[in-house]
Amino acid sequence: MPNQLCCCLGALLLSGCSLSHWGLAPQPPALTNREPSSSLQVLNEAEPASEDRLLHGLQRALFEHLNGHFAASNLLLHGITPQLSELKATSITETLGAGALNETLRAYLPTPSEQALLHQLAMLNYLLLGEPARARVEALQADLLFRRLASAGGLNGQLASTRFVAGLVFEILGEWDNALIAYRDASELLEARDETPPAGLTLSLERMRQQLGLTSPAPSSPAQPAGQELVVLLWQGQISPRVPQQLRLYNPALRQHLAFALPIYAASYPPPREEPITLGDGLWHAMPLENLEQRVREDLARQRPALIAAATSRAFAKFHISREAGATDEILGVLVDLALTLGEVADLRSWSSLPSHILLARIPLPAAPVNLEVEIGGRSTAAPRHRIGLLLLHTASGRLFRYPAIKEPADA
Amino acid sequence: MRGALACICLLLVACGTQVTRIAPQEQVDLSGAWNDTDSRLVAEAMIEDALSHPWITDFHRDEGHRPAVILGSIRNLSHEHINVQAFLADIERALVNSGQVTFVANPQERRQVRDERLDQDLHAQEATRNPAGQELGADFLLNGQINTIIDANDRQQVRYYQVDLSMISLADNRKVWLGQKKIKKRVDNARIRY
Repeated sequence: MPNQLCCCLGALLLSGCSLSHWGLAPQPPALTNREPSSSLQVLNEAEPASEDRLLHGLQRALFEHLNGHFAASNLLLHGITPQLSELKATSITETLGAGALNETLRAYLPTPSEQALLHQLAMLNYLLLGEPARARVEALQADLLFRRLASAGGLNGQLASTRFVAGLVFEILGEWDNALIAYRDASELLEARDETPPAGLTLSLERMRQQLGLTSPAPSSPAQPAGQELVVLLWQGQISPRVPQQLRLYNPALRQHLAFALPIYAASYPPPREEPITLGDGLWHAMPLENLEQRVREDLARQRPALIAAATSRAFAKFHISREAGATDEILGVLVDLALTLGEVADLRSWSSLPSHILLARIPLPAAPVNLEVEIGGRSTAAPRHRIGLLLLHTASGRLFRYPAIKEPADA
Repeated sequence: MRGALACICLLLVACGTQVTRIAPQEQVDLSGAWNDTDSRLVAEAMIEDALSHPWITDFHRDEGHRPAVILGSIRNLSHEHINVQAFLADIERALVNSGQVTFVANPQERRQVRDERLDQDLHAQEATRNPAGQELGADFLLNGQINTIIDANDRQQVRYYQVDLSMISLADNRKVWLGQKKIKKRVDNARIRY
């Protein structure tokens, strides 16, 4: 009898924790609605629950990046990386909490695609800081991650865009063979997913083959060796948030609920839009390199069998706890049933400030040493005159960054 | 009752952040990544190796003075963000303190020193000024790289670090000393946590 009462009270307490936690889950403002600086301020002032701290760090890292604080962004990302291997261990308390109430009581572990994007963001930060040698370290770590994920099977978390950025880092450092391998991996990933590699990736691959003497350029080929080239990466849109899919059944005879809640993504999402790029008198297009909307849906689909199994066993456990409470005291039974039903919420946490799509263009610059203006997504800047220059545009927030950096802010 | 109270107190203490001072030489491995112990082991091995080879005595015999060395670049080609300056500073300090080698300032330090010298030219008393053109030219360049090979699965990792340093003669590009230190670690990640 006292044990049953303790169980019931425990269930009520846990559900109270869960509901308060649910209400405080860090949801960053949409990129399009507010300035990145005010969004960052909101994130900095938030006090996330311990199980949400890692996700909060990821969101902050992206907003630090959007504010041009690349070193601060990488500091946050470096704080996250060692935690990942720790969080892969099964937590006793979190498993008990998740088994008793819902999945939000588990510490947030980024999905494989999010882990790959973590390294991609770190690489871009280092490039924008003018430290390609440190970006190389992130490229190697991403490779390590991909190898580990590949050993688990399939294309789990394998991102062509992260492979491409790694290739770009190697190319900037003059490591043609490593760059060729990374570009080729990116291309093969797209082909394995029946997606067409963008022209910028094909050209990058061709360039490396030329550098290594594996092919000779045709006289009229656009892949003729060029002095200076501009790589344009676009982080387009903002990824769809996870939404709850809930099922609540009421048994009037037993006066009990059976509740299930799972996270899902909306079936449709905005497709990538090819973005025109004006460079001097020429017109180019950034083409889709990575469909992140699809990647995160694939991540969730892989998690789904485990989530369904956990939700089912939890529903039956809650059913029995409520019945036990009802047998002790009818009002207590109703209260416990209500608390446990309300406590069954879907885990909607995800790195929701990521872009929907990543687009790519690679543009050979004319040999004449003239200053060229690049216009893209309503923003314009002087084209970086370098062997390999990089422009990174976040279309949702309108932020434009460049490598090599110039002294005045690129978005001024 | 008192026992229960003591238990609660202990639990409360365990929940707080604890800081303990430990000896700098003490080996503490938390994540398996490159740490101060690795840095120290590499520095010690390199110093011992560099001082036990004949390039110093050969140079002293031929030139009649201690070799002057300049620190070149140490490339971090590993999977980790390694602060190479830490063990390079150890190596530099030990070689200088051995009394067998002189180190000259690297390009960044030289710029600072030259600025200071220019400043002295304008502002310092004549007797205390240090004139330009009196710098000691380096005889050798010390450079190298750090490489890693990592083999990993979900729970285990084998990390292999190889640090290579070379001393190159600035007179004729000869490599007079090649130092190498290897470190291999196995990291087993926990399966269960609290």
